[in-house]
Amino acid sequence: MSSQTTNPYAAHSPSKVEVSKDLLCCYQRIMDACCEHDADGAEYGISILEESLNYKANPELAFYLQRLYTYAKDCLKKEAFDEACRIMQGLRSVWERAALSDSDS
Amino acid sequence: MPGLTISQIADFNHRDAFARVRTGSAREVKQFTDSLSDASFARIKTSNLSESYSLLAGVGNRLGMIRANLSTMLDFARQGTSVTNELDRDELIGQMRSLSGGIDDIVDQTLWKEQKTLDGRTLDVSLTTQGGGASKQIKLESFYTSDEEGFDLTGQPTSAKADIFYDYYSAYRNQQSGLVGLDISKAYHSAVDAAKSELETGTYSLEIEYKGPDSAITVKTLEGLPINTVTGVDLSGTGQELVDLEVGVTLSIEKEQFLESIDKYDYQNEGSVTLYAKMDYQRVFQHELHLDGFEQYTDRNLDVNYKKTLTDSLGGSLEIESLNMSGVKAGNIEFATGNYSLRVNYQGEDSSVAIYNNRGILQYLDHQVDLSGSDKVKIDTGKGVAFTIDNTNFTDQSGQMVALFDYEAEENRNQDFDFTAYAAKIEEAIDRLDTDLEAVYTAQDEILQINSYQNSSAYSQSAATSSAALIGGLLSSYENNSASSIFGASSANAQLGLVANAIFQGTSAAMAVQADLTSARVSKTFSA
Repeated sequence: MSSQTTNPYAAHSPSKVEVSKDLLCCYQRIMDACCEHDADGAEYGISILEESLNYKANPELAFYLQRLYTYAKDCLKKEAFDEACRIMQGLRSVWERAALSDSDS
Repeated sequence: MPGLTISQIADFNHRDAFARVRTGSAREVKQFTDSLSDASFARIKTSNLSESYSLLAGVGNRLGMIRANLSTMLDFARQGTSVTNELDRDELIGQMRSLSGGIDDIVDQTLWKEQKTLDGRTLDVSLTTQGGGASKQIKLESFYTSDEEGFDLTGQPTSAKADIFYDYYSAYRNQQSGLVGLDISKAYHSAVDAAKSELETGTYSLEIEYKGPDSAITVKTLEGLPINTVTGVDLSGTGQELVDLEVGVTLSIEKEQFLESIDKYDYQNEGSVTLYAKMDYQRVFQHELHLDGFEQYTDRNLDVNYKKTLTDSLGGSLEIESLNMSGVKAGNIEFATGNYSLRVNYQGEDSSVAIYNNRGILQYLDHQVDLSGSDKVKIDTGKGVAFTIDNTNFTDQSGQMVALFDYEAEENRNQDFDFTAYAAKIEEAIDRLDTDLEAVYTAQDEILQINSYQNSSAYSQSAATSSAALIGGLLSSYENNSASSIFGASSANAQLGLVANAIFQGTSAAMAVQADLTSARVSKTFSA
């Protein structure tokens, strides 16, 4: 009889699909907030993205993203909602394509 | 309760306990403090990532030690709020003085390449392995407990310690001189005369040229160069004479007239004679707990409130003059703080002098004072008060005169210490320290991340330069909190391209970068 071992931590790890879904949702909501000129809402959304950054997983990407988030927040402070929205849209589309390509493979 | 012995409690509360050595004169220290600004301090600059980590690790460690001292102080201050016993209160205050002194010692001893790091400097830490390029600035507060803009937990007034001793040379010459009844019993710090300079830390010679009421005291360097001379010092009679040398020190001279015919030495026939001594002088900052309105020690003071002069029908008078503070003779108990009445009962050569406290209890009595002559009679109680009685052709057989005065002894005022207010100040200090400590820890983490990134197998040399610069820019942007200083819209597009590349190069690893994002947080945040 073969024994089956399970990783107790695996059950708590979010799946890739879940991550991308939440991430895309977050970007979408930030974009919505930008369209409504809701600087606080958009900034709060970006801060969630910032807080969830995991530098250890991929330091290079984390720093690139952090830099863009900081830039977007600065745009919000200057009420440059279009620019902030454009950045979020760009990031969303990159993640969307990445999620699709990953699920295809 | 901390558990100090009674003698330790007294030591810990001594005015000079935990004093710190100062190099500048009191005047220089004031000028320096007045002109102090950030620009006065050089930045601490590291030349590579390894140095940066080493510096931050050291600073973090020392800040942790300071925090431990502050936490213990806070415990003591909180205990003090419910203490009613005088000894326990003194013990807690003594312990807090000791711990705060320890914090200053840590600041003094935390050096990086011979520069202090915790006295309010900016750390300029390199973020690259080879130096140059990106760096991060961390502005730290001054952690000296006396810094008014910082912790403000202690007061450190300029002061000095002075010790008198007779070396073999001085003792030998004094023995040969034939002078008897004169001794310098104590020396302590006093204000420096505006026209004079304070003594530097070191050893000096003292020469007392005895000529009765017109003696002179000279302070000299060990090489014999005179620094200052005070003339007109009355060393006649018996008592404790205080002499301000005007250069930061006051001598308390004990004088005793053994013979009625010759006072100490027959200077009128033999000429003057000199008493020699040596003095160690050390410039220091005193160290006391600081709270607005609280003075741990009060200085001595004497105020005359009322004085009655006796006059006779022929125009003669008897008057109390120069009612002043004097030294306390060894073995005597100083007058306590309070109101006193000085009564002179005049009966010619059988006069008497008495001092009563405000409850009418006799504190001093000299029942045999000859006031019949025309010379002024100086009376030194040896308990901190002296005065002169001047008889100007007073012809009455008897009479009484009175003077009322307030005397304030030097004393410890720990009973006025507000532990609750002090605990609040310590809490504030801990908050301030935590802010800096967090900045140091964060920078340490960042350096570790950069280091681990640069050491990773996927890391290429060509990417190193650009990534380090990017990371440096990113880190400095945290401080500035201004994205516009990072890049503009065109660069943002380039950044987006970099993100896309990074994601598509390793999609699975890329996903993990934002893996902590959960749907619960996203929906909760946006629905709120």
